[in-house]
Parts: sequence; C-alpha cells; structure tokens
Amino acid sequence: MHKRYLKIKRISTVFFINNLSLFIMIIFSLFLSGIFLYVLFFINFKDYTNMNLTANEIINNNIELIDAVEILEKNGWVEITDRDFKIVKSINSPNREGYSYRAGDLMNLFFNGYNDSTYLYSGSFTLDGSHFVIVALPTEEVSAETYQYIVENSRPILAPDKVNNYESFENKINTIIICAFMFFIFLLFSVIYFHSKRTSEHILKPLIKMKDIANSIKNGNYRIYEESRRKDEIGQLSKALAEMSIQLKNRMNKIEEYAGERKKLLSQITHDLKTPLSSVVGYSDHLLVQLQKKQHRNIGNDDLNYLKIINKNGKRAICLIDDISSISQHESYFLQLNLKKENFNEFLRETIANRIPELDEIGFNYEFEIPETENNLFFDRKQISRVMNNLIDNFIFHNPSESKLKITTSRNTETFLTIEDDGVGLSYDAKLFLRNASEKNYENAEKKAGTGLYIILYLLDKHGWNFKYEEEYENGTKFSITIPDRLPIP
Amino acid sequence: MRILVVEDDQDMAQLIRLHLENENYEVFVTTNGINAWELFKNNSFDFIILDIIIPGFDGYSLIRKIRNTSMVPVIFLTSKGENSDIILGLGMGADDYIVKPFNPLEMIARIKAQYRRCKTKDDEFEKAVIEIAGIKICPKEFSLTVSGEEKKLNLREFGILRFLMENAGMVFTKKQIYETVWNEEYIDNGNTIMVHISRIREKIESDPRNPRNLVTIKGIGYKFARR
Repeated sequence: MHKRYLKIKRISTVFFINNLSLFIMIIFSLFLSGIFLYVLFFINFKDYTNMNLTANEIINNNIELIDAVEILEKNGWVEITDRDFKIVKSINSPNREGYSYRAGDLMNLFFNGYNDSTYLYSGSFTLDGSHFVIVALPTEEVSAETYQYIVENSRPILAPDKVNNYESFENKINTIIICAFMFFIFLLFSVIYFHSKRTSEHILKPLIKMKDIANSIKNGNYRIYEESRRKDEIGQLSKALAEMSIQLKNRMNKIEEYAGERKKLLSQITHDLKTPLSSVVGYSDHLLVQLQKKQHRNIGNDDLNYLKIINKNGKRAICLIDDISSISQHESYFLQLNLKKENFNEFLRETIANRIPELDEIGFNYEFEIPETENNLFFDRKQISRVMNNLIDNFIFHNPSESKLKITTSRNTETFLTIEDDGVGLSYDAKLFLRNASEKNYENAEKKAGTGLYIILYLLDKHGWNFKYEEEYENGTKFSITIPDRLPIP
Repeated sequence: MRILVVEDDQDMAQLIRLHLENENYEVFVTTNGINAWELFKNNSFDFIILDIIIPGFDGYSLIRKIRNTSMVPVIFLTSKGENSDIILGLGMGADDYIVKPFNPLEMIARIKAQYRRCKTKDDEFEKAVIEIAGIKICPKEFSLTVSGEEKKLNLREFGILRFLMENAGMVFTKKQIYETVWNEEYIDNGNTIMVHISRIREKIESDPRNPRNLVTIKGIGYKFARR
C-alpha cells in the first residue's frame, strides 16, 4: 500500500521538484542580474571609486594632512591659499608659495571659463574657511568618465567645451539599470521557457509516443510498443500498452495464421468440388448445344428439361462454391480494394458481353441502356465484376427462360445503375435480408438469403456505393445502385 | 493444330477433347505429368493445355521442364483460381490461365488468340478457312465468299469480320473490336465501328436491315452468331 502511495505520488513529486527548480533558477537569475549590474558599475565607474582627485575630496582642516598622492600620480598639482588667496603651500604647482591670486584670476579660472583646456580645475574652502584649496589635473591624464564625474560634482571648476559631448551621469546610471533589468527579464523568460519545455516533455513525450502507437493499432498496423523505463503512472500506462500491443500482435498473427489455413483448406475443397461439377456443367452444356442443333432427335422434351435442370443447378453449385470462397476471403483481413479510375460504362459493357452467350443459350431476353459516353469512376474492377456477375447469376438461377433482364445506367450528379427483371421476384427471406441490410445487420443473413446477395452488399458497402431493393416494383425484381464520384472512404 | 491436354480427371479431359475436336484440332490427352513429359519429348505439339494438380510432375514442374526446351504456347486450365495461383502460373511461363469451370467458347478463343500471337503469316493458322452459315473467309487469300459468291472487303472490314467469326457466339464491345483490329487505343470511335459493321452487313447479310449473322447487341456491342 505504502509503495503504491509512493508510486501515485510520483508525478506530483516530479512537479514539486520542477517547480522548486524553477524557484531556484529565478533566484539564481536575480543573483546573476545583480552581478551583471555590479560589473557594469565597476566597468563604468572604477576610476572614481575612492577617488581623491578634486578639491572637495582632498579637503582637510589641517592643511598639512592633505593627501595629494593621486593627483601627483596624474601629473597634477595642488595649491593652498589663505583667505586672501595667497599661496601658503604649493605642491608640484608652477606658482610658488607667496604668490597671490587676484580675485579676477580665480573668477576667470572657475566661473568665466578658461581658454586653456590643458588642465581641469577644482577648488574648495576648508570647513573653517581659513584656506582655499585649488587642484589642477592635466585633462589628458583623466579618463572621460572621471572627467565627467569631476565636471558634475566639483564646483567651482573649469568646464571646457568638450564636456557637452558626454551623456549625463544620471542617464548613464539609468541605462545601466535598464540593461540589468532587461538582462533579468531575459533570464527569467529563458528559465520559464526551458522549465516549461522540460516539464511538458516529461509528460507529453511518452503520451505522444503512446498516441502514435494507439493510432497505428487503430489503423491495423499491429506493431509492438517498447515500454518506457519510467516508474511513475505514465511508466505503468506505457507498460500496459506494451503488453497490450504484444498480445494484439500475437492474436493478429494467430488470426492471420488461421485465416491462411482456412484459405488453404477452402482452396482445396473448392478445387475438389469444382472439378467434378465442371464436368457436369461442361457435358450438359455440350449436350444442350447438340440438342439445339437437333442432332439428338430421340431425346424428348422432358429429358431436355431434366438436362437443363442438371446444367442450371450444376452452374448454381459452382457459383455457391465461388461465393463461399469469396466470403472466406472478404471476412479475412486481406481484402484491400484495388481502386482505379476507369470508364464505368465500358466496364459494364465488357462484363455483360461475357454473359450474353449464356443468356442466349438459356433463352433469356435482355435490354441494355448504357450510354456510349465516358463515365470515369473509381472502383475495383475485379470486385465490381463479381457484384455484376452475382446479380446476373441471381437472375439466371431464379427465373424461367424468356424472362427479361434490363440493365440501365445514367448519370446526373451521381451515377445510377438499375438491374431489373420481369421474373418471379425475390424470395421472402431475401427481401427480409435486404430490409435488414440497411441497418448493416448481416449476421446469419447469408444462410437465409444466399451468399450471393451477402457478397453484393459487402462489396458495394466497401466501395461506399448505395444499394437499394425497390420493394414497390411489382413485376419482378429491381435493384438500384447509386455511385458517388468521390473515392470510397477506407 | 496438335494440342496436348494434361488433365488428371478423365471426365474433364474428355470434355476438353470434345470441345477441341469440334474445332477440328488434333488432340492428345494424358492424365499425369510423367507421361506428358514423355509425350512432349517424343512428339511435336502446337499447343499445350495443362492442369496444375496432376500426378507425377505437377503442372508447375512440367511447365518449367517444357520452357527449358520450347516456347510452345501453354495455357493452365485449373480449379485453382486464387490471385496468387494465377500470378505463380503466369510467372512460371504459362501464356494464359483459365479457371474451371471454363466457358468452352472462351477456352477456344484464348487458344486461338495465343496461337495467333506466336505464329507468322505463313503458318497453318493463317491458311485455315473459317466458314459459318455459308460465309467463308480465307485469311491467307484475304477473300470472302458468301454462298459461293466472292465479295470484296477492305482491310479493316476483313479484320473485324475475321475477329468476330473466329470468336463466333461471343459478344464484343466497340472498344474491344477497335483495339483488336486497329491495334490502337480506342478514343470514342463508336461511329467508325458502326460504319464498318454496316458495310460488312451489306456484303454478308441477305437483309442488312435485319441481320442474322453479324448481330448488334444494343447497348453492348456486336457478335457473329453461331450456328
């Protein structure tokens, strides 16, 4: 029970693991995005992290402790003046201690612009206001970003014209944040996409394979399905399907084997029965021909009738044997229609032409209305030939000589074929069979109605052609067949 | 024409002999494969009719042996009517295949057709005269006499009459007649056939409007009536 419970939980466990992995991957994406953001900041602003390049940054009340190392590294200089802008300390500056700036010089330096763009200036008073610090950095020693930073954050400074060529610092930060956000969204979508794909594949892949196998079995291709190695419910389903496919294939093999054996046996029986019957029919045919030529004048009318009965029933027995053989084939799984587009009218003429000598010999009348025009339809020549011959056989066996057979065909949007006679009409059992046939209730029907009708209905149904017995027709028998132009649906 | 019939069923063999002798063929009958092979080796035959299931060599073995030495026309006449049997029989080298019970008219027609195909113009077959109800045609001389009176036919008319007389009693559609005589694909030449048939009737019928020999089967085709 516990094991079963665990098995039932398998797919939900997989879902849990998958969702957990999704959560972890989202967190990981966030982490990656953070790293990405940091890297962007580091690349863009590495020059002014812990920067001591402006007056504001190096300012200190104790002027002795001012740190000018980085400025000196960049070949810059520092000057510290008193309140009257007299230099009290000069570090690497071209102006010596004791040099006094005039107010106008400083104004020019910081506010009115300075024609010399060789240096970038910044200046600031100490917190107690006792000193003023001036820092100058050679512009060629300063990167564009540092330059921008100083321009934005150090006042008063000299801002040469080329400052305008750089985007603002805030804009750059905004761009970086947007990039990082886009990167995060991209990662998030990628994670969700691959997660969905993996999760759906985990379930759908075996299901699609099983669906293909089921369709294949439905279409009569009994191939063996290889079971999945999974242990979950899908694995169990796959195992059941694999077992089912093996059993079905084995059964189909057995059915085909039995059908093959039955076919062989029937073929042997057919051969054994047909040979003596062929002699009966052949000799009686010969005698009938001779009698028609009046070569045996000593045979009376009764004897002639007996001979006709022998001949007629011999032929009927042969037809029955053929029908039984056909049913055996049709009920097996081998019957595949060999559909070809042919002129149906010419086919009818050729099929009927073969039977006319027999009709003449027995003394039947006939009338055929088959247009000379072409009527190309899809049908299996052999099987429809069997249908037509069965219908003509039925007419021959059940009706007295001098009865009339009429076959007509016409075409509108569909093709219509009628086979009618003025003979004795159908037996009660045959009528009952045909009434039930519209409901496809063929079970045991052939025992009552004769195998011929059964085969006719089966083959026409296989072609998708509509067969109708005209019950209202009182002067014999009338069958109508409606033939659509479309191909039969398999 | 000398025909060898190999058929184990005596009654059937006699029936085949009866129909063939009616056509004035010389018929030799044997009931087993070994005798058939001996007969074949020691005699000359123009045609062989062979059953498949026979004692001694079966029909397949016999045709294989025959085909090693001769291309004489062979027809299988058997009760084995499955598609696979027919395919196998033809594949073994038979020229045609007839399933029992056979229609004697069809059997004779097939024998004539096969024989015609494998013989040249100077052969015995071409010399054979066909005569039905006083209508006589001689293929070699290309002549037609009706009640002793000679009539002229053109090539196509002669071809149609010969084809129908050789297969007297059998009904053929216009397409079948056209494709046999013209040896071309039939493309709605119904009128061509009708015109030729009408001309033939003028020459062979006493009352061409009510023909008794070359008969129309309405809706189907034509036949030459047997007597």
